[in-house]
Formats: sequence, structure tokens, C-alpha cells
Amino acid sequence: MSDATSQTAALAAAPEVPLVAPRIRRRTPVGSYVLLGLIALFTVLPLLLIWFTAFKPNIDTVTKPYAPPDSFYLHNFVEAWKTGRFGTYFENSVRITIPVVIVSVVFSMLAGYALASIRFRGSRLFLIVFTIGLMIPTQALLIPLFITMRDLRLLDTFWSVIIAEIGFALPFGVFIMRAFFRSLPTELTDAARMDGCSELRLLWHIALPLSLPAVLALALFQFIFSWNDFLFPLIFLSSENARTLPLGLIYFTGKYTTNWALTGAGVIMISAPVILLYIALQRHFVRGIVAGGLRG
Amino acid sequence: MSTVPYVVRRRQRAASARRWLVALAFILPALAFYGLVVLRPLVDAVRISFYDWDGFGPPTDYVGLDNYRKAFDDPLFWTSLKHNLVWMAISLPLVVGLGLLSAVLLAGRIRGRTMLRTLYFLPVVQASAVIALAWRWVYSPIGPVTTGLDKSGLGFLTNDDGWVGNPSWALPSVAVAAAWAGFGFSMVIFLAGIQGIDPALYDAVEVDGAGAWQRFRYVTMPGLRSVTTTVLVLGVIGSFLVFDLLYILTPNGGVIQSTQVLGTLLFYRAFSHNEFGYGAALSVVLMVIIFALSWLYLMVRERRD
Repeated sequence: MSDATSQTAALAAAPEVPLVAPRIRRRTPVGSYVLLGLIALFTVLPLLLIWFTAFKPNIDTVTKPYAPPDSFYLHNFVEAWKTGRFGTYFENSVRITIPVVIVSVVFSMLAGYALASIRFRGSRLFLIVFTIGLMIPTQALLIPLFITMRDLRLLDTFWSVIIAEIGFALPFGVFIMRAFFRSLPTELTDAARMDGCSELRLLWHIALPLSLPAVLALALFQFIFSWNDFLFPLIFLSSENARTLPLGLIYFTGKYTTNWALTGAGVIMISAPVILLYIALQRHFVRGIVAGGLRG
Repeated sequence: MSTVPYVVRRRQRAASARRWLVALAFILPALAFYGLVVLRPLVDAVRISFYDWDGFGPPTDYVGLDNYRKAFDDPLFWTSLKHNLVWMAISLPLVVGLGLLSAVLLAGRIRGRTMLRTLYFLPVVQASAVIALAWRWVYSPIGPVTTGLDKSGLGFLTNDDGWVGNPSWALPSVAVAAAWAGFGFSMVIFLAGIQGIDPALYDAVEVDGAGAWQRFRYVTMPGLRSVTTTVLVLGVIGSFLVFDLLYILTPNGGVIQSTQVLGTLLFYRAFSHNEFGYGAALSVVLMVIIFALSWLYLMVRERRD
């Protein structure tokens, strides 16, 4: 998924819902397993084939391009890290993604909390304004955004990418956090408010501990969005030293069209953190975003 | 004596003003970023679209609706729009079909369900750069698709340019790659939908001796109506937003513009040809399409509820 809108909607629903299979007592036919296996093959094969190349000497990607690697050859990673400059790209990606995740999650929490739990005039209007953002595709704003960043003299700095990604991460974040905070029981917060507890302390001590899974899920979502982002780095970052991993990898393959071994290594550097985090956190993904999101 | 004592009322008003300030302080950080990155550029895009502007200096050459006229007179604009529709025609059935099929299968009694679900969803979290390179490798002239067709006697279907290098195959090929990356997402929506179906309905038709197909036809499908609408609408919207894969796999709009779509067209107009005004007009057209589709969807949903 390459665009913010559908990805947003995607992850709102994506999380793993614990499945309660309809009460079916009959045995599952073999055909089902065959079909599931075929779909699994279709899903995993394109990834597997490119991952294979990362573990083979480049010559093998020519002589036996699609075969599994003979041995666990790790030299490609070393060479990609140094010669291919993927070390720099990796660092750049980290330096952009971390601030984006932290700032967007914290600001989403604050705004989401205010829109969910504080009764004030204009809260509906603010909600509508943020919701409009869910529908706006990144591409439609590329031109004015490019001009904005140029006028602020932020082009070719990480700031341009960081600021743009935060701005586009917020509508979904606010929407999800508001939905989640609304689902919390109000008795506790009402009582604390009576005792003169400040809103910030309410958020920190009562609402936040209860919504940690949702916060984690949102953080994972924003991590994936920022880490994988191609479009903003493409238009904002022009110098080679500033490139992020996806951008650097695409330029690399443009220059060394036949070096599939290093390309594979670069692919794994992008994929591995996402896959590991996704598998580690997918249970939170479940309770978090779906629970909050579908209720909103 | 129904009126609240004056002091209390004043205190209430003070409290409400304080609440308003606190709420504003909570919202302001998000609003500042969002305003700078989304709201202001939104207005700017519309404004810029009324100028003939190469992007340098402030826009001064006001041309009214000329950029829009130019778009509607430009055959490439219509070709691009057509390509968006072709993309939709190819990827949407795959995304919906595969998503529904895997959801229905996984909802049954399946061993290894969690693992399979995670597996099917894996492409969804991949970077577009990764998806593009994985499929460039799959589609290479010595790749599994070409060799597979050759070996099964369908060699006449292949071509020497590789799939993404051939003007008539490029767009469908990339659309298939996108469908591969997207069906896991429709699967989880369908799964959530299946969960919402009352199991008693299945029991009921089973008593009447319904087989697998009838259970699907008379219980699952009607139960998934609203979820299907959601998947379809998101798919249609997504078809107008394609960019990354086409930009990476078929640069510059592809061979003889065969993969130019609205998103890439506006990008190249602005950033390769310095036609910022025209590019902005195309952005506004894109936004109008998306807003119209979203609005339509909300209307349909409202009426159903």
C-alpha cells in the first residue's frame, strides 16, 4: 500500500482479531488446505526469491538466480553496508523514523484525549477538521508542500521529511486515540476530576495506563508508515548522504542494475525491522487499533 | 427560585473557559503540524492551480481556470485517468477475490490459522521499494513467470522486454504486484466482518441441509455486504492514488506513456517540467475525485444505517 489514506484505513482494520470460528462441527475439507497453501505460496514466493539473493555471491544470482542459497553467505550485508552506503541510509532512516513516531504518538494522544474526554465548545469542529485529513492523499499536496519546505529552507534536511510525515500521521493518530479514550469508562476520570486532578495528570495516570496497547499499536503503525515512506524522501531529499533506506535502495538499483545480491541485502535491511516488530507486537495491534478504531 | 445563584453561575462560566483553554493547549501541538503540512498546503494547491507558474519566485501570472482547461484538452490527462481505471479493473477483483477467499477459508476450522493470517498480511507491511524490487525480480526475462510460461507451452505469451518493460503488459503486471501487496488487508476486513455474523444463522441453514456453497451464498455473503462495500470503496480510491510502484518500476510514465496515471502525471509535470501551476490543477482534480468517492461512500453507508 503506497498511500496514506488507504493504508490508514487498512491498519484501522488490519489488526489481528482473535477469531471465533462459526460453530462448524464438520471436518475441514482437504481442498481448503490446498487453496490456503497455494495462496501462501503466492504470498511468500516473491519475497522469498529476493531474500534468497541476499545470501548468495553475486555470481550465483546470474548462474542460478532463483535457487535457494547454498550456504549462509553474509558478505553481501557487509558490502552493502559499506560500499553500497546502506549503513548511512539505515542511520538516516532511524534518525527520521524515531522522532516521527514519538512526536506523532504523543501529539495524537494529547489531542485525542482532549477531543474524547474534555467537554468544550468547538470540539466537534476540531474533530471534523482532523477527520478531513484522513481523506487527503499525500500526492495531492506534494507541490505546495515542496514549496513550503523550500520557503522554510528545509529542503534536503531530515526536518522536511520529519515534519511532513508527522503532519500526515496525525489525523489517523488523533482519530484512533480519541476513539480509544472514548471507550474507557468515565467513572474514574470523573471522580478524579471532582478531586481537582488536572487533565494532564488524568491523562498520564489514568487514561494512558489503560490504553497502552492502543498506544503501542499506533506507534507500530506510524513506524511502518515512516520507515517505508518513499514519496516524501523522494521529493525533499536530493543529496546522496541524506537518503533513507527505501530511497537509497532504489537509487542503488538504478545505478547497479545487475547487482541483485546487494539489492537483496538492502531489501532485507528495510523488511527485517518491520517484520520483527510486526510479529512481536501483533497481539497489541489486535486489541489496540481494532478495539478503538471500529468503535469510533 | 429556579435560577442558579449568580456566584455559582460565574464560577461555572470560569470553569468552562478554563476547560476550553486546557483543551486548546492539548490540541494545539497536533493542530500546528497538521495545519502546516496539510491544511495550508490544501489551500495553496487550489491557489497555485490558478497560476501559470514555473515554481520560481512568487506566482504572478494569474490565468484563472486555464490550467484546468489545459488538463481537459490534454489527451494524456484522459489516458492517465483511463490507466487508473484499467488498474482498478485488474487489481480490484484480485484484492477482493483473494481477500474474501482467504478470509472465508481461514474462518473455518483450520490448523495454523494464526500463522497463515500473519503470512498473508506480511506483504501489506512491506515498503513499496521492497514490493517493487521483489516483483522486478519475479518479472525478469529469466524469472519464474517467463520460464514457467515457457515450460508449460505458453511461451507465446512472453516477450523479450520483460513484463514491466512491455507497453501492453506493464500496467497489468504492476497492478498484479499491487494486488499481491494489498489483498491481505481486505482479508482482515472480511475476517472482522465474518466474525460479526451470528453463528446461529449457520446452524439454521445447516439444519436445512445447506452445503458449503449455500452457507457462503445465503449467510456469509449477505452478512458481508457492508464490509464488501468498504473494501470496494477503499480499492477504488486506492486505484486513483497509485504512484510508488509505477514510479519505481516504469519510470517517466513507462514506455510510450503506457503506465502514466494521474498521480505520476502531476508529479512529472511539476518536478520534471516545472509546470507547478498545471501540476497543482491536476492535484485538485485528484482531490475532487477522492472527496467525491468518500462522500458517496458516506452517503451510501448513512442510507443503509
